[in-house]
Amino acid sequence: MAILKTYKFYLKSLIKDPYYWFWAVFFMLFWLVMGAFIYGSTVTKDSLRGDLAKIIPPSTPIFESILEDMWNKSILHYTGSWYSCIALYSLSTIAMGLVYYIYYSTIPIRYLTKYSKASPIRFYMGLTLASLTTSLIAAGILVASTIIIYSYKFHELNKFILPRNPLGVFTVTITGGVFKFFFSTTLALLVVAMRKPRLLGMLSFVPFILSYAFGMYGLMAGGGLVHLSPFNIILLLAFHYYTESPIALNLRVVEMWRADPEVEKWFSKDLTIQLVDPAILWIILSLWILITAGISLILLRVQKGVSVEEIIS
Amino acid sequence: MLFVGIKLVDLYAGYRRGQFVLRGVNLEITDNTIILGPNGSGKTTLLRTIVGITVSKRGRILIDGVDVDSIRGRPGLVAANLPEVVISTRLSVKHIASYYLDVLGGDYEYFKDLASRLGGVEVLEKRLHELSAGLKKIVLNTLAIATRAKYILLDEPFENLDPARRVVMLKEIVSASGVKVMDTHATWLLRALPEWNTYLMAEGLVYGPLRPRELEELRVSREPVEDIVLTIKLKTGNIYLSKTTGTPLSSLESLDKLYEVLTWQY
Repeated sequence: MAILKTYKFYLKSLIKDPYYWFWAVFFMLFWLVMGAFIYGSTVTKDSLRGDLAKIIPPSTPIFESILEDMWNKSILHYTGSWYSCIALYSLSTIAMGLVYYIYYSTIPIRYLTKYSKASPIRFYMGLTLASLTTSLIAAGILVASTIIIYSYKFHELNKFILPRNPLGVFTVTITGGVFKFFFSTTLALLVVAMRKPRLLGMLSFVPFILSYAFGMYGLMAGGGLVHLSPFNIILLLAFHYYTESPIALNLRVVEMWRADPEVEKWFSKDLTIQLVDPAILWIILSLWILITAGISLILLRVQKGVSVEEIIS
Repeated sequence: MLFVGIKLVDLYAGYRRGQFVLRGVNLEITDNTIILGPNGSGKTTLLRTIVGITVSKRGRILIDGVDVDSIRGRPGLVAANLPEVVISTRLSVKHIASYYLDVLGGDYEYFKDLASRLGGVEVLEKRLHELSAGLKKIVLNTLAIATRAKYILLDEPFENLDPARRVVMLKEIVSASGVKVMDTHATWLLRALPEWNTYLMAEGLVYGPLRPRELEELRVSREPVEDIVLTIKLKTGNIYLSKTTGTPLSSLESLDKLYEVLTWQY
Protein backbone atom coordinates (compact mmCIF):
# COMPACT_ATOMS: atom_id res chain seq x y z
CA MET A 1 0.00 0.00 0.00
CA ALA A 2 2.84 2.37 0.84
CA ILE A 3 4.22 1.90 -2.68
CA LEU A 4 0.86 2.88 -4.18
CA LYS A 5 0.46 5.91 -1.89
CA THR A 6 4.01 7.05 -2.55
CA TYR A 7 3.53 6.45 -6.27
CA LYS A 8 0.40 8.64 -6.33
CA PHE A 9 2.10 11.35 -4.25
CA TYR A 10 5.20 11.57 -6.44
CA LEU A 11 3.19 11.22 -9.65
CA LYS A 12 1.04 14.23 -8.69
CA SER A 13 4.22 16.12 -7.71
CA LEU A 14 5.95 15.40 -11.00
CA ILE A 15 2.87 16.10 -13.13
CA LYS A 16 2.39 19.47 -11.43
CA ASP A 17 6.04 20.39 -11.95
CA PRO A 18 6.35 23.07 -14.66
CA TYR A 19 10.01 22.10 -15.07
CA TYR A 20 8.88 18.68 -16.35
CA TRP A 21 6.37 20.11 -18.82
CA PHE A 22 8.72 22.74 -20.13
CA TRP A 23 11.93 20.73 -20.54
CA ALA A 24 10.68 17.18 -21.06
CA VAL A 25 7.72 18.02 -23.28
CA PHE A 26 7.49 21.56 -24.73
CA PHE A 27 11.20 22.06 -25.34
CA MET A 28 11.35 18.67 -27.04
CA LEU A 29 8.31 19.58 -29.16
CA PHE A 30 10.19 22.67 -30.23
CA TRP A 31 13.06 20.48 -31.49
CA LEU A 32 10.65 18.13 -33.25
CA VAL A 33 9.26 21.13 -35.11
CA MET A 34 12.80 22.29 -35.91
CA GLY A 35 13.63 18.82 -37.20
CA ALA A 36 10.60 18.75 -39.45
CA PHE A 37 10.49 22.27 -40.86
CA ILE A 38 14.03 23.70 -40.57
CA TYR A 39 16.43 20.76 -40.77
CA GLY A 40 13.93 18.77 -42.82
CA SER A 41 13.63 21.42 -45.50
CA THR A 42 16.43 19.72 -47.47
CA VAL A 43 14.75 16.31 -47.27
CA THR A 44 12.74 16.39 -50.47
CA LYS A 45 11.57 13.89 -53.03
CA ASP A 46 13.43 15.80 -55.74
CA SER A 47 16.78 15.48 -53.96
CA LEU A 48 16.14 11.75 -53.54
CA ARG A 49 15.19 11.53 -57.21
CA GLY A 50 18.58 13.03 -58.08
CA ASP A 51 20.41 10.54 -55.87
CA LEU A 52 18.44 7.60 -57.25
CA ALA A 53 19.00 8.72 -60.81
CA LYS A 54 22.72 8.21 -60.28
CA ILE A 55 22.06 4.52 -59.64
CA ILE A 56 19.02 3.69 -61.77
CA PRO A 57 18.33 5.43 -65.05
CA PRO A 58 15.11 7.45 -64.70
CA SER A 59 13.86 5.91 -67.93
CA THR A 60 13.64 2.52 -66.20
CA PRO A 61 9.93 1.54 -65.99
CA ILE A 62 10.07 0.80 -62.27
CA PHE A 63 11.98 4.01 -61.45
CA GLU A 64 8.95 5.88 -60.09
CA SER A 65 7.77 2.98 -57.96
CA ILE A 66 11.27 2.51 -56.53
CA LEU A 67 11.47 6.25 -55.88
CA GLU A 68 8.14 6.17 -54.09
CA ASP A 69 9.24 3.24 -52.00
CA MET A 70 12.61 4.87 -51.18
CA TRP A 71 10.93 8.14 -50.35
CA ASN A 72 8.59 6.48 -47.86
CA LYS A 73 11.50 4.66 -46.29
CA SER A 74 13.74 7.72 -46.08
CA ILE A 75 11.11 9.87 -44.37
CA LEU A 76 10.27 7.02 -42.00
CA HIS A 77 13.96 6.79 -41.08
CA TYR A 78 14.26 10.56 -40.83
CA THR A 79 11.20 10.71 -38.55
CA GLY A 80 12.44 7.74 -36.51
CA SER A 81 15.86 9.28 -35.98
CA TRP A 82 14.30 12.51 -34.69
CA TYR A 83 11.89 10.68 -32.40
CA SER A 84 14.59 8.43 -30.94
CA CYS A 85 16.87 11.39 -30.33
CA ILE A 86 14.14 13.49 -28.73
CA ALA A 87 12.94 10.56 -26.58
CA LEU A 88 16.50 10.16 -25.25
CA TYR A 89 16.79 13.87 -24.43
CA SER A 90 13.34 13.97 -22.86
CA LEU A 91 14.26 11.07 -20.57
CA SER A 92 17.47 12.91 -19.70
CA THR A 93 15.68 16.08 -18.65
CA ILE A 94 13.35 14.00 -16.47
CA ALA A 95 16.47 12.37 -14.99
CA MET A 96 17.95 15.80 -14.24
CA GLY A 97 14.86 16.71 -12.23
CA LEU A 98 14.90 13.33 -10.49
CA VAL A 99 18.42 13.91 -9.17
CA TYR A 100 17.03 16.88 -7.22
CA TYR A 101 13.87 15.02 -6.14
CA ILE A 102 15.88 12.09 -4.81
CA TYR A 103 18.45 14.30 -3.10
CA TYR A 104 15.88 16.46 -1.32
CA SER A 105 13.83 13.40 -0.36
CA THR A 106 16.63 11.70 1.58
CA ILE A 107 15.79 13.31 4.94
CA PRO A 108 11.98 13.02 4.64
CA ILE A 109 12.38 9.37 3.57
CA ARG A 110 14.67 8.77 6.55
CA TYR A 111 11.92 10.16 8.82
CA LEU A 112 9.07 8.37 7.08
CA THR A 113 10.77 4.98 7.03
CA LYS A 114 11.39 5.17 10.76
CA TYR A 115 7.90 6.21 11.73
CA SER A 116 5.70 4.56 9.10
CA LYS A 117 5.37 0.96 7.92
CA ALA A 118 7.17 1.60 4.65
CA SER A 119 10.77 0.65 3.96
CA PRO A 120 13.20 2.81 1.94
CA ILE A 121 12.95 0.30 -0.91
CA ARG A 122 9.16 0.79 -1.06
CA PHE A 123 9.55 4.56 -1.15
CA TYR A 124 12.06 4.34 -3.98
CA MET A 125 9.78 1.87 -5.77
CA GLY A 126 6.95 4.39 -5.56
CA LEU A 127 9.24 7.10 -6.90
CA THR A 128 10.51 4.79 -9.68
CA LEU A 129 6.98 3.98 -10.83
CA ALA A 130 5.99 7.65 -10.74
CA SER A 131 9.02 8.65 -12.82
CA LEU A 132 8.28 5.86 -15.30
CA THR A 133 4.69 7.02 -15.64
CA THR A 134 5.83 10.56 -16.35
CA SER A 135 8.35 9.20 -18.89
CA LEU A 136 5.55 7.27 -20.53
CA ILE A 137 3.27 10.34 -20.61
CA ALA A 138 6.07 12.38 -22.18
CA ALA A 139 6.78 9.57 -24.67
CA GLY A 140 3.09 9.33 -25.58
CA ILE A 141 2.88 13.06 -26.25
CA LEU A 142 6.15 13.01 -28.21
CA VAL A 143 5.17 9.98 -30.32
CA ALA A 144 1.77 11.51 -31.15
CA SER A 145 3.38 14.88 -31.92
CA THR A 146 6.08 13.25 -34.07
CA ILE A 147 3.43 11.42 -36.11
CA ILE A 148 1.36 14.58 -36.62
CA ILE A 149 4.26 17.01 -37.26
CA TYR A 150 6.20 14.78 -39.66
CA SER A 151 3.08 13.46 -41.41
CA TYR A 152 2.05 17.07 -41.99
CA LYS A 153 5.49 18.03 -43.22
CA PHE A 154 5.94 15.13 -45.65
CA HIS A 155 2.37 14.04 -46.49
CA GLU A 156 0.24 17.05 -45.48
CA LEU A 157 -1.61 14.65 -43.21
CA ASN A 158 -2.88 12.60 -46.17
CA LYS A 159 -0.88 9.72 -44.82
CA PHE A 160 0.55 9.11 -41.34
CA ILE A 161 4.16 8.17 -40.62
CA LEU A 162 3.38 5.68 -37.88
CA PRO A 163 5.97 3.81 -35.82
CA ARG A 164 6.27 0.31 -37.20
CA ASN A 165 6.33 -1.24 -33.74
CA PRO A 166 4.59 1.08 -31.24
CA LEU A 167 4.80 -1.49 -28.44
CA GLY A 168 8.55 -1.72 -28.98
CA VAL A 169 8.85 2.09 -28.94
CA PHE A 170 7.02 2.32 -25.61
CA THR A 171 8.90 -0.64 -24.13
CA VAL A 172 12.23 1.00 -24.95
CA THR A 173 11.02 4.28 -23.49
CA ILE A 174 9.98 2.60 -20.23
CA THR A 175 13.22 0.63 -20.03
CA GLY A 176 15.18 3.79 -20.83
CA GLY A 177 13.24 5.48 -18.02
CA VAL A 178 14.24 2.67 -15.61
CA PHE A 179 17.90 3.13 -16.53
CA LYS A 180 17.69 6.91 -16.20
CA PHE A 181 15.97 6.57 -12.81
CA PHE A 182 18.71 4.37 -11.37
CA PHE A 183 21.39 6.53 -12.97
CA SER A 184 19.83 9.63 -11.33
CA THR A 185 19.51 7.79 -8.01
CA THR A 186 23.18 6.84 -8.19
CA LEU A 187 24.18 10.45 -8.79
CA ALA A 188 21.92 11.88 -6.07
CA LEU A 189 23.00 9.31 -3.50
CA LEU A 190 26.62 9.82 -4.46
CA VAL A 191 26.23 13.48 -3.43
CA VAL A 192 24.62 12.36 -0.17
CA ALA A 193 27.17 9.62 0.56
CA MET A 194 30.11 11.93 -0.15
CA ARG A 195 28.38 14.70 1.82
CA LYS A 196 29.24 17.20 -0.89
CA PRO A 197 25.95 19.04 -1.52
CA ARG A 198 27.71 21.60 -3.67
CA LEU A 199 28.26 18.91 -6.31
CA LEU A 200 24.50 18.53 -6.73
CA GLY A 201 24.10 21.24 -9.36
CA MET A 202 26.93 19.90 -11.46
CA LEU A 203 26.04 16.21 -11.13
CA SER A 204 22.38 16.83 -11.94
CA PHE A 205 23.46 17.82 -15.46
CA VAL A 206 25.42 14.60 -16.02
CA PRO A 207 22.47 12.58 -17.46
CA PHE A 208 21.78 15.31 -20.00
CA ILE A 209 25.42 15.99 -20.87
CA LEU A 210 26.15 12.30 -21.42
CA SER A 211 22.93 11.76 -23.39
CA TYR A 212 23.69 14.74 -25.56
CA ALA A 213 27.37 13.87 -26.08
CA PHE A 214 26.89 10.15 -26.74
CA GLY A 215 23.59 10.62 -28.56
CA MET A 216 24.89 13.28 -30.94
CA TYR A 217 28.08 11.33 -31.57
CA GLY A 218 26.13 8.16 -32.39
CA LEU A 219 23.64 10.09 -34.47
CA MET A 220 25.89 12.32 -36.53
CA ALA A 221 29.54 11.39 -36.11
CA GLY A 222 29.99 7.67 -36.06
CA GLY A 223 29.12 4.29 -34.66
CA GLY A 224 31.44 1.74 -33.10
CA LEU A 225 31.70 1.13 -29.38
CA VAL A 226 29.85 4.36 -28.57
CA HIS A 227 26.72 2.54 -29.74
CA LEU A 228 27.09 0.21 -26.75
CA SER A 229 26.71 3.01 -24.20
CA PRO A 230 23.31 2.84 -22.47
CA PHE A 231 22.36 6.21 -23.95
CA ASN A 232 23.06 5.06 -27.49
CA ILE A 233 21.30 1.74 -26.93
CA ILE A 234 18.12 3.60 -25.92
CA LEU A 235 18.49 5.74 -29.05
CA LEU A 236 19.19 2.77 -31.34
CA LEU A 237 16.39 0.60 -30.00
CA ALA A 238 13.87 3.46 -30.19
CA PHE A 239 14.99 4.05 -33.79
CA HIS A 240 14.84 0.32 -34.54
CA TYR A 241 11.27 -0.08 -33.28
CA TYR A 242 10.11 3.14 -34.94
CA THR A 243 11.43 2.12 -38.34
CA GLU A 244 11.99 -1.67 -38.03
CA SER A 245 15.34 -0.99 -39.64
CA PRO A 246 18.21 -3.34 -38.76
CA ILE A 247 20.79 -1.93 -36.36
CA ALA A 248 24.31 -1.58 -37.74
CA LEU A 249 27.12 -0.99 -35.28
CA ASN A 250 29.43 0.62 -37.81
CA LEU A 251 26.94 3.21 -39.08
CA ARG A 252 25.86 6.48 -37.55
CA VAL A 253 22.11 6.64 -36.95
CA VAL A 254 21.45 9.12 -39.77
CA GLU A 255 22.96 6.55 -42.14
CA MET A 256 21.22 3.56 -40.62
CA TRP A 257 18.73 3.48 -43.50
CA ARG A 258 21.53 2.06 -45.60
CA ALA A 259 21.34 -1.17 -43.59
CA ASP A 260 17.73 -1.74 -44.69
CA PRO A 261 17.80 -4.89 -46.92
CA GLU A 262 15.75 -3.24 -49.66
CA VAL A 263 17.84 -0.07 -49.69
CA GLU A 264 21.11 -1.89 -49.27
CA LYS A 265 20.91 -3.52 -52.69
CA TRP A 266 20.68 -0.10 -54.34
CA PHE A 267 22.70 2.25 -52.15
CA SER A 268 25.07 0.17 -50.01
CA LYS A 269 26.42 -2.49 -52.32
CA ASP A 270 30.05 -1.67 -51.52
CA LEU A 271 29.50 -1.17 -47.80
CA THR A 272 30.29 -3.81 -45.18
CA ILE A 273 27.52 -3.56 -42.63
CA GLN A 274 27.99 -4.98 -39.13
CA LEU A 275 24.48 -5.81 -38.06
CA VAL A 276 23.70 -6.42 -34.40
CA ASP A 277 20.82 -8.39 -32.96
CA PRO A 278 18.54 -6.07 -30.89
CA ALA A 279 18.47 -8.82 -28.24
CA ILE A 280 22.17 -8.17 -27.58
CA LEU A 281 21.44 -4.48 -27.07
CA TRP A 282 18.61 -5.40 -24.68
CA ILE A 283 21.01 -7.59 -22.70
CA ILE A 284 23.62 -4.80 -22.49
CA LEU A 285 20.97 -2.25 -21.45
CA SER A 286 19.67 -4.67 -18.79
CA LEU A 287 23.22 -5.05 -17.49
CA TRP A 288 23.58 -1.27 -17.27
CA ILE A 289 20.29 -1.17 -15.32
CA LEU A 290 21.50 -3.89 -12.96
CA ILE A 291 24.82 -2.10 -12.42
CA THR A 292 23.23 1.29 -11.65
CA ALA A 293 20.51 -0.33 -9.48
CA GLY A 294 23.21 -2.23 -7.57
CA ILE A 295 25.28 0.91 -7.02
CA SER A 296 22.13 2.78 -5.90
CA LEU A 297 21.32 0.09 -3.36
CA ILE A 298 24.87 0.07 -2.01
CA LEU A 299 24.83 3.88 -1.74
CA LEU A 300 21.41 3.75 -0.08
CA ARG A 301 22.90 1.53 2.62
CA VAL A 302 26.17 3.45 2.92
CA GLN A 303 24.75 6.99 3.04
CA LYS A 304 23.91 8.48 6.40
CA GLY A 305 22.20 11.49 4.92
CA VAL A 306 23.32 15.00 4.27
CA SER A 307 23.37 17.48 7.11
CA VAL A 308 19.94 19.03 7.55
CA GLU A 309 21.52 22.47 7.54
CA GLU A 310 23.04 21.81 4.14
CA ILE A 311 19.76 20.43 2.74
CA ILE A 312 17.85 23.49 3.92
CA SER A 313 20.43 25.93 2.62
CA MET B 1 13.63 -3.54 32.82
CA LEU B 2 12.90 -1.80 29.51
CA PHE B 3 13.03 1.97 29.80
CA VAL B 4 9.87 3.63 28.50
CA GLY B 5 10.48 7.14 27.28
CA ILE B 6 13.22 8.97 25.45
CA LYS B 7 16.69 8.59 26.89
CA LEU B 8 19.74 10.52 25.71
CA VAL B 9 23.10 9.19 26.88
CA ASP B 10 26.21 11.37 26.58
CA LEU B 11 24.92 12.75 23.30
CA TYR B 12 27.08 14.79 20.95
CA ALA B 13 25.53 15.90 17.67
CA GLY B 14 26.07 18.46 14.95
CA TYR B 15 26.22 19.06 11.24
CA ARG B 16 29.90 18.89 10.40
CA ARG B 17 32.33 16.16 11.30
CA GLY B 18 33.94 16.86 14.65
CA GLN B 19 32.01 20.09 15.26
CA PHE B 20 29.24 19.35 17.69
CA VAL B 21 26.34 21.60 18.62
CA LEU B 22 25.18 19.27 21.39
CA ARG B 23 28.02 18.61 23.80
CA GLY B 24 27.34 15.63 26.03
CA VAL B 25 23.60 15.77 26.71
CA ASN B 26 22.13 13.35 29.24
CA LEU B 27 18.37 13.47 29.48
CA GLU B 28 15.40 11.26 30.27
CA ILE B 29 11.99 12.25 28.95
CA THR B 30 9.02 10.34 30.29
CA ASP B 31 6.49 13.13 30.58
CA ASN B 32 5.51 16.39 28.91
CA THR B 33 8.64 18.50 28.64
CA ILE B 34 9.68 22.04 27.81
CA ILE B 35 13.22 22.75 26.65
CA LEU B 36 13.82 26.41 27.29
CA GLY B 37 16.78 28.20 25.83
CA PRO B 38 17.93 31.17 23.77
CA ASN B 39 18.33 31.00 20.01
CA GLY B 40 21.41 29.07 18.99
CA SER B 41 21.51 26.99 22.16
CA GLY B 42 20.93 23.73 20.24
CA LYS B 43 17.21 23.15 20.89
CA THR B 44 16.29 22.40 17.27
CA THR B 45 19.39 20.22 16.86
CA LEU B 46 18.29 18.28 19.94
CA LEU B 47 14.87 17.55 18.40
CA ARG B 48 16.39 16.67 15.01
CA THR B 49 18.76 14.27 16.71
CA ILE B 50 15.97 12.62 18.71
CA VAL B 51 13.99 12.13 15.48
CA GLY B 52 17.09 10.53 13.92
CA ILE B 53 17.90 12.89 11.07
CA THR B 54 21.15 14.41 12.31
CA VAL B 55 24.14 13.03 10.46
CA SER B 56 27.03 13.60 12.84
CA LYS B 57 26.37 11.96 16.17
CA ARG B 58 28.09 10.34 19.12
CA GLY B 59 26.39 8.81 22.15
CA ARG B 60 23.01 7.10 22.25
CA ILE B 61 19.35 7.94 21.87
CA LEU B 62 16.91 5.32 23.05
CA ILE B 63 13.23 5.60 22.31
CA ASP B 64 11.32 3.07 24.41
CA GLY B 65 14.60 1.23 24.82
CA VAL B 66 15.39 1.03 21.09
CA ASP B 67 18.32 2.90 19.56
CA VAL B 68 16.95 5.58 17.22
CA ASP B 69 19.30 4.48 14.43
CA SER B 70 17.77 1.02 14.36
CA ILE B 71 14.14 2.15 14.48
CA ARG B 72 12.32 1.12 11.30
CA GLY B 73 8.64 0.84 10.50
CA ARG B 74 7.21 2.15 13.79
CA PRO B 75 4.16 4.22 12.87
CA GLY B 76 2.80 6.30 15.71
CA LEU B 77 6.02 6.31 17.72
CA VAL B 78 7.40 9.80 17.02
CA ALA B 79 6.11 12.83 15.14
CA ALA B 80 7.79 16.20 14.70
CA ASN B 81 6.88 19.61 13.32
CA LEU B 82 10.29 20.06 11.66
CA PRO B 83 9.98 21.44 8.10
CA GLU B 84 12.83 19.28 6.79
CA VAL B 85 10.86 16.05 7.33
CA VAL B 86 8.31 17.17 4.74
CA ILE B 87 9.05 16.20 1.13
CA SER B 88 9.71 19.25 -1.01
CA THR B 89 6.86 19.35 -3.51
CA ARG B 90 4.60 21.68 -5.46
CA LEU B 91 1.53 19.91 -4.10
CA SER B 92 -0.93 21.70 -1.85
CA VAL B 93 -0.99 21.35 1.92
CA LYS B 94 -4.02 19.01 1.80
CA HIS B 95 -2.19 16.59 -0.50
CA ILE B 96 0.93 16.59 1.67
CA ALA B 97 -1.07 16.12 4.88
CA SER B 98 -3.21 13.40 3.34
CA TYR B 99 -0.13 11.44 2.21
CA TYR B 100 1.79 11.89 5.46
CA LEU B 101 -1.13 11.03 7.72
CA ASP B 102 -1.88 8.03 5.50
CA VAL B 103 1.60 6.52 5.77
CA LEU B 104 2.30 7.63 9.33
CA GLY B 105 -1.13 6.56 10.51
CA GLY B 106 -2.74 9.81 11.67
CA ASP B 107 -6.09 11.59 11.61
CA TYR B 108 -6.57 13.68 8.47
CA GLU B 109 -10.04 14.93 9.48
CA TYR B 110 -8.58 16.36 12.69
CA PHE B 111 -5.80 17.98 10.68
CA LYS B 112 -8.26 19.53 8.24
CA ASP B 113 -10.44 20.85 11.02
CA LEU B 114 -7.66 22.42 13.10
CA ALA B 115 -5.69 23.79 10.14
CA SER B 116 -8.87 25.40 8.74
CA ARG B 117 -9.82 26.84 12.12
CA LEU B 118 -6.41 28.39 12.67
CA GLY B 119 -5.37 29.26 9.15
CA GLY B 120 -8.62 29.46 7.19
CA VAL B 121 -9.89 26.91 4.65
CA GLU B 122 -7.62 28.36 1.96
CA VAL B 123 -4.53 27.17 3.83
CA LEU B 124 -5.30 23.61 2.66
CA GLU B 125 -5.26 24.62 -0.99
CA LYS B 126 -1.94 26.48 -0.84
CA ARG B 127 1.54 25.08 -1.26
CA LEU B 128 3.69 24.89 1.85
CA HIS B 129 6.30 27.33 0.52
CA GLU B 130 3.59 29.86 -0.34
CA LEU B 131 2.45 30.16 3.28
CA SER B 132 3.55 32.88 5.68
CA ALA B 133 5.90 31.79 8.47
CA GLY B 134 3.00 31.73 10.95
CA LEU B 135 0.71 29.67 8.73
CA LYS B 136 3.52 27.29 7.90
CA LYS B 137 4.10 26.77 11.61
CA ILE B 138 0.39 26.11 12.14
CA VAL B 139 0.38 23.48 9.37
CA LEU B 140 3.51 21.73 10.67
CA ASN B 141 2.30 21.77 14.29
CA THR B 142 -1.09 20.43 13.25
CA LEU B 143 0.48 17.73 11.11
CA ALA B 144 2.61 16.56 14.04
CA ILE B 145 -0.33 16.59 16.49
CA ALA B 146 -2.68 14.89 14.00
CA THR B 147 -0.22 11.99 13.73
CA ARG B 148 -1.35 11.04 17.26
CA ALA B 149 2.13 9.74 17.96
CA LYS B 150 3.33 8.52 21.32
CA TYR B 151 6.02 11.22 21.36
CA ILE B 152 5.27 14.55 19.70
CA LEU B 153 8.29 16.82 19.24
CA LEU B 154 7.47 20.48 18.65
CA ASP B 155 10.17 22.93 17.64
CA GLU B 156 9.23 26.52 18.61
CA PRO B 157 5.52 25.79 18.08
CA PHE B 158 4.40 29.36 18.84
CA GLU B 159 6.94 31.23 16.76
CA ASN B 160 5.34 33.77 14.39
CA LEU B 161 1.86 33.05 15.77
CA ASP B 162 -0.36 35.93 16.89
CA PRO B 163 -1.62 35.82 20.53
CA ALA B 164 -5.10 34.50 19.66
CA ARG B 165 -3.70 31.62 17.62
CA ARG B 166 -1.09 30.90 20.28
CA VAL B 167 -3.84 30.26 22.82
CA VAL B 168 -5.76 27.90 20.51
CA MET B 169 -2.59 26.08 19.52
CA LEU B 170 -1.52 25.74 23.15
CA LYS B 171 -4.89 24.21 24.06
CA GLU B 172 -4.60 21.71 21.22
CA ILE B 173 -1.05 20.78 22.21
CA VAL B 174 -2.03 20.31 25.85
CA SER B 175 -5.07 18.19 25.00
CA ALA B 176 -3.19 16.05 22.44
CA SER B 177 -2.51 12.50 23.51
CA GLY B 178 1.06 11.30 24.01
CA VAL B 179 4.17 12.80 25.53
CA LYS B 180 4.88 16.26 24.17
CA VAL B 181 8.40 17.65 23.98
CA MET B 182 8.44 21.32 23.17
CA ASP B 183 11.41 23.61 22.68
CA THR B 184 11.02 27.35 22.95
CA HIS B 185 12.68 30.58 23.95
CA ALA B 186 9.39 32.08 25.18
CA THR B 187 9.13 32.21 28.97
CA TRP B 188 5.38 33.02 29.01
CA LEU B 189 4.76 29.30 28.50
CA LEU B 190 5.99 28.52 31.99
CA ARG B 191 2.88 30.06 33.55
CA ALA B 192 0.59 28.17 31.19
CA LEU B 193 2.18 24.77 31.73
CA PRO B 194 2.94 24.49 35.44
CA GLU B 195 2.98 20.67 35.46
CA TRP B 196 5.46 20.16 32.65
CA ASN B 197 9.07 19.23 33.25
CA THR B 198 11.31 22.09 32.24
CA TYR B 199 14.92 22.01 31.17
CA LEU B 200 17.17 24.93 30.40
CA MET B 201 19.44 24.68 27.43
CA ALA B 202 22.51 26.78 26.66
CA GLU B 203 25.45 26.23 24.35
CA GLY B 204 24.63 22.59 23.66
CA LEU B 205 24.06 21.48 27.23
CA VAL B 206 20.81 20.73 29.04
CA TYR B 207 20.17 21.63 32.69
CA GLY B 208 17.33 20.45 34.88
CA PRO B 209 14.67 19.27 35.34
CA LEU B 210 12.88 22.04 37.14
CA ARG B 211 9.21 22.75 37.60
CA PRO B 212 8.03 25.90 35.76
CA ARG B 213 6.92 27.50 39.04
CA GLU B 214 10.36 26.88 40.48
CA LEU B 215 12.00 28.33 37.38
CA GLU B 216 9.83 31.42 37.49
CA GLU B 217 11.13 32.22 40.93
CA LEU B 218 14.76 32.02 39.87
CA ARG B 219 17.05 34.94 39.20
CA VAL B 220 20.00 35.10 36.85
CA SER B 221 23.36 36.44 37.81
CA ARG B 222 26.96 36.38 36.62
CA GLU B 223 28.31 36.33 40.15
CA PRO B 224 28.38 33.20 42.29
CA VAL B 225 25.96 33.49 45.19
CA GLU B 226 25.24 31.37 48.21
CA ASP B 227 21.93 29.79 47.27
CA ILE B 228 22.84 28.60 43.76
CA VAL B 229 20.17 26.34 42.34
CA LEU B 230 21.74 25.83 38.92
CA THR B 231 25.07 26.72 37.31
CA ILE B 232 25.03 27.16 33.54
CA LYS B 233 28.43 26.81 31.92
CA LEU B 234 29.02 29.19 29.05
CA LYS B 235 32.17 29.74 27.01
CA THR B 236 32.28 33.29 28.34
CA GLY B 237 31.90 32.25 31.96
CA ASN B 238 29.29 30.73 34.24
CA ILE B 239 25.75 31.96 34.86
CA TYR B 240 24.21 31.29 38.25
CA LEU B 241 20.53 30.77 38.92
CA SER B 242 19.48 31.44 42.47
CA LYS B 243 16.38 32.51 44.39
CA THR B 244 17.78 35.73 45.74
CA THR B 245 20.29 37.50 43.49
CA GLY B 246 20.11 38.83 39.93
CA THR B 247 17.49 39.51 37.25
CA PRO B 248 14.26 37.51 37.62
CA LEU B 249 14.08 34.96 34.82
CA SER B 250 10.33 35.58 34.47
CA SER B 251 10.99 39.23 33.65
CA LEU B 252 12.60 38.16 30.37
CA GLU B 253 9.82 37.67 27.85
CA SER B 254 12.20 35.64 25.77
CA LEU B 255 15.36 33.85 26.81
CA ASP B 256 16.99 35.46 23.81
CA LYS B 257 17.27 38.50 26.05
CA LEU B 258 19.25 36.56 28.63
CA TYR B 259 22.60 37.37 27.09
CA GLU B 260 21.65 41.04 26.56
CA VAL B 261 20.65 41.44 30.20
CA LEU B 262 23.79 39.73 31.45
CA THR B 263 26.05 41.75 29.19
CA TRP B 264 24.33 45.00 30.10
CA GLN B 265 24.24 44.39 33.84
CA TYR B 266 27.61 42.82 34.38
